Amino acid sequence: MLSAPLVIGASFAYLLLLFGVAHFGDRRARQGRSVIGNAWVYALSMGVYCSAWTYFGSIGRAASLGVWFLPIYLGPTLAMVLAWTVLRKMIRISRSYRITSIADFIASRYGKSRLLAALVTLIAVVGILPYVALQLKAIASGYALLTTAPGAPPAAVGAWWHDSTLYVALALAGFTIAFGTRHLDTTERHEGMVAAIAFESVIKLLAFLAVGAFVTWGVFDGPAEIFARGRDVPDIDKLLRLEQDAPFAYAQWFTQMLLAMLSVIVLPRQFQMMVVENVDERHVKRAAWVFPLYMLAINVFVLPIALGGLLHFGIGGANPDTFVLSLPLAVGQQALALVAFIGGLSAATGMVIVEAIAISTMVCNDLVMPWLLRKPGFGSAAGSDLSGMLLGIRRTVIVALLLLGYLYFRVAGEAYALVSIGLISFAAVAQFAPALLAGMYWKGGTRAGALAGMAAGFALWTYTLMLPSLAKSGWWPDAFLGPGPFGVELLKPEQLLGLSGLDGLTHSLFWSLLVNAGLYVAVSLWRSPSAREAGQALLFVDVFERSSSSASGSGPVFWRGRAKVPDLLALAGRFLGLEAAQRVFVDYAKRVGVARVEQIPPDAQLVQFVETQLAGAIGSASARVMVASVVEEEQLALDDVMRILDEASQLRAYSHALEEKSLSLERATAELRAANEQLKSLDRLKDDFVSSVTHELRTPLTSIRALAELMLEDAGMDAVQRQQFLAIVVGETERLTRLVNQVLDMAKIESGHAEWRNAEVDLRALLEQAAQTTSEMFRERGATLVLNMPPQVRALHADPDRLTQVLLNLLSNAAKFVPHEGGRVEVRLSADEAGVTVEVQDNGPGVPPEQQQVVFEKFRQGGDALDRPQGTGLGLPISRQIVEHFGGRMWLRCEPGQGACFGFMLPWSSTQAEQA
Amino acid sequence: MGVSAAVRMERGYRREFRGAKETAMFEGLAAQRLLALFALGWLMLNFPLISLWDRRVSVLGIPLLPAALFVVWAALIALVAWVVERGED
Repeated sequence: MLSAPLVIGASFAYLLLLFGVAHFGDRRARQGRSVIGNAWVYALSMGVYCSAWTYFGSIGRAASLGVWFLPIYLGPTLAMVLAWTVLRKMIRISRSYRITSIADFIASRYGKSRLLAALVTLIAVVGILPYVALQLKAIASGYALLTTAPGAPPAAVGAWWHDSTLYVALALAGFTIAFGTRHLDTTERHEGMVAAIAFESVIKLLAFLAVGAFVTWGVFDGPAEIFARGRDVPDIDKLLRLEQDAPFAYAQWFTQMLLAMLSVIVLPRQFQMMVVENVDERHVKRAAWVFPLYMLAINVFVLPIALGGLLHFGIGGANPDTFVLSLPLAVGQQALALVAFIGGLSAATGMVIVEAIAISTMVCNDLVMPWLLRKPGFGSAAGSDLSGMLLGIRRTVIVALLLLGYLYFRVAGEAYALVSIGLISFAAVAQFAPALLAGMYWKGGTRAGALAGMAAGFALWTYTLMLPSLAKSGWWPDAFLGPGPFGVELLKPEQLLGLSGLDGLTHSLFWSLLVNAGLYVAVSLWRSPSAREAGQALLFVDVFERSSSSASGSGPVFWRGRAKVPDLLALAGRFLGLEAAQRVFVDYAKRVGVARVEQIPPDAQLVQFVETQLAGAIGSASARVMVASVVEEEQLALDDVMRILDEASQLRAYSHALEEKSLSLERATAELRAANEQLKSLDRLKDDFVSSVTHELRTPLTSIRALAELMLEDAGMDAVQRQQFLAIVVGETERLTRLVNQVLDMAKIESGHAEWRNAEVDLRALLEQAAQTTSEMFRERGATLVLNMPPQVRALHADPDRLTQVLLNLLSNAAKFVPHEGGRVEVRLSADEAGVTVEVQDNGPGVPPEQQQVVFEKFRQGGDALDRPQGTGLGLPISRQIVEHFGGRMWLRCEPGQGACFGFMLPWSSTQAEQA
Repeated sequence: MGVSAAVRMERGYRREFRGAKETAMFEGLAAQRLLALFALGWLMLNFPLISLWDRRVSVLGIPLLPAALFVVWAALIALVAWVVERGED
C-alpha cells in the first residue's frame, strides 16, 4: 500500500509535467517552430483513443472473455487502412470550410442546419457522459486500490465533499480549461494540447509495457510459462479458444469490429485530434500504420497480464480491471504500481481533456449560441465584443460536463464493468456514421433524411441499449425488460419484434443503424434537396476538385444579395474580437489586391469569407444566421445554385484554358529559341565556308598575279621562262574554274536545286569508263589499277553523270595518294539483296585516325598541308552528297599499313531516286 | 535540325506530362491497394477465417489463436506501411 499524499503528489506532479509540455508546445507554435508539425506526433496524438478503458478494461475483458478484447482495436486498424481515402477527405473539407467539430461537420453538410447540429451535440453529450464517468471511475478505483491496505474492506462511499473523485473531476476540468480555452482561435486548433496528448500517449504505453514485461518475466518465467500454466486450469484454458461456453458469437465479433471502426472516426475526441488538429494532411499516411502499430503494442501484454492475474489471485480473487495495479502491488513492487497508476491516469486525463474540449465547442456553438442568438435583440444589438463570452460559455460547459460525469459515476458507476460502458458510448456516436460518411460521397442526402435517420437511430439506441443498461444497474424499473412494456412481447427492448439470438449490443446496433441508414436514404429520396443543401453537398462531395481553386478564391459561392463591408467587419469583431477581426480583414484586402479595408468589394466572396471565419468561432449554422442578419440576401433557388456552379466551372475552364495557352506559349518560345540557336550556328557555318572559299580562291589568284606582274615588269624575259610561267597561270586558272564549279555544284546539291537526270545505269560500264578516263593519271604515277567486278550487275536507277563524278573523284583521290613506286589501286564492285557496293582500295599512307572523321567535311583535305596534292577539298563532300541523294551512304575504312579504302553503297531503290 | 530540336522538345513535354499522369495513377493505385487491404483485413480478422486458428496448439509456447491474430494484425499493418511509405515516384 502507498500513502495517499504520495499518490496525490505524484499525480499532480505528472499533471504539471503535462502542462509544461503543453506550454512548451504553445510557445513553439507562437514562435512558428511547431512541435506538432510532424507525422509521428500526429499519429501518437491519435493514441487518445486508448483511454482508461483500454488501460484497465482490456485486461478485465481478456480475463473473462479471452481474445474478445481485440475487436475494439482491429476495427480502428481497418478504418486507418482507408484513412488516406476517407479521413483525408474529412480533413480537406474541414480545412476548407473552417469546421471545428463533428456536429458542425454534419450540420454544415446538410445546409448548415442548426437543428441537426443541436441533435448531433445532444447525442454526443448523452453518449459521452458515461464514458467520462468511466474515466473518473478508473482513476478513483485505481487510487483506492493503491492507498488501501490489502485485505482491508473497501472504504465506505463517503459524503460527496469527502469524495476524492469529485476533486479529480474538478482538477481535470481546471486542466482542460487551461489547455483548451485560453484564447479563441477561429481554427479551434490547440498545439500545446496536441503536444501534451502525444506525450501522454507515450507515457501510458511505456507504463503499460513496463507492467507487462514485469508480470511476464518478473513474476512468471516468460509468456510460455503463463500460457502453459493457464492451459492446466480449464476456466483459463477456454479463454484461449473462440468457442467458450457457447458457440462463437461471430455476429458479435463482427459488430464490435464495425462499431470500433466507426467510432474511431466519429467519436468527438477522435474527430478533434484526427481532423481539427491535423496540421498537414500528408501526415495521414504515416498515421495510417503508426496508430494501428501503437494499438498493437499496447495490447501485446494484455493476455499475459490477464492470465497472470488469474493465476496469481485465483479466479474471482481480485477485480481483473485493476490487475495492472494489483499484480505489482501483490509482489511488493510499489514503485511499479505507482508508475502503472500514472499510466492509467495519463490515459484517463488525455481522453477527458480532448473529449471535454470537443464537447464544449459543440455545446457552445450548436446549443448555447443558437439559443442566445434567437433571443430578441441579441443578434442585431450593436453590441460589445462577444469573444470573451464565448470563452466563458465553453469553460462553463467543461466544468458542467465533468460534474455530470461525476454524478453519473456516483449514481451508476458501480453497476457496470468498464468495457460495457464504453461500448454503449460507442453505439451512441455510431449513429453519426450514416449521415457523415454518406454525406461525403452522395450528393442526394438531405437535411430531413439526416435528421430522421439520426433521431430514429438515437431513439432506438436509447430504447434497446441505454434503458436496459440503466434498468440492469437498478435505478430504473426493469419490469419492462422481461415481458415487454405494457406486456407487449414484440416491444421487448432486447428482443425487438421478436429478434432473438443476438447479444444486447449487437441487437441494438443492428436495429439502430438499420433504421438510421434506412430512414436517411428513404427520406432523402422523398424530395429533391433545397438550394442550400445542394450547394453544400457539392462543396463536400467534390471537395478535392474545388479546394485547389478555392485557395485562389474562385470556388463557387452560393450566395446572392447586398452587403456592406463595415457591417461585416463589426459582426466579425463581435465574435472574434475587434483586433483579430481587423487583422483578418486586412489580410483579406491584401489577398484581393486592394490597399484598404474600406475598398474591399462587398461581394459574395467577402460574405463567404466572413461566414467561414465566424464558423470557426461559433459554428457554421450560427455563423450563417449571424451573417444573414447583417446583409440583405436573396433567396436562392435550386436553378440559381446550378447556374452559380456553371459559372464557377466556366471560370475554372477559362483558367484552365489560359493555363494551357501559357503552356503552349512557353513551348513555342522554347522552340523559337532552339530555332534561333540553329540559325546562329548555320550563320557561323556560312561564315566559315565563305572564309574557306575565299582562302582557296586567294591562293591561285596570288600566284597568277605574281607571275603576271613578273612578266609585265621583265619585258626581256626569255621565251622558255615566259612559257613556263604562262603554263602555271593556265593551270592555276583551271584550278580556279574547278573550284568555282564545285562550289556552285555543292551549293546546288545542298539547296536541292541540282538537276538529276536519272536513267537505268550499269555500274560495270560506268566503272570501266571511269577507269579509262583516269588511266592516264595512273600511268603517269606508275600505279596499277585493278577492277574486280562480278560478270553481271543489275541495273540501277540513278543519274549516270553524277555517279561518274563520284567514281572519278574516288579514283583520282586514290591515284594522288599511292606511293611513287609500286602504287596499286583496286576497285571492287559487289551486289547483294540491298544494293550495290563500290570500294576503292589504295596502298598509300592511309588516313590518320584523327582525320578520318573530317575528310568528308568541306575544305578538309587529307594529308599534311605542305605535301598534300592539289585539290579543292570539295570532292569528297560532293560525292557523299550525291550518294546520300540516292539513299546510300559513303564511308572510309582504314586499317594501319593497308592504305585507305573509300567505299559507298547504293540501294536498289530509294525514295529520293524515285521522286527525282 | 530545327525540326529535330522541336521534336526533342516535344518529347520532353510529353515525358513531363506522362510523369504527372503517372503520379496521378500512383495515387489511384495506392488507393486501390489500400482498398484491397481493407477487404483482406476484414476477411482475415473475421469469421470464418479466424476459426481456422482455433486449435489447441502452441507456437513457441504461445497458444495458436492469439498468436495468429496478432501476426495477421501485424502483417496488415506492415502492408499498409509498405503501400503508404514507398513514395510517390
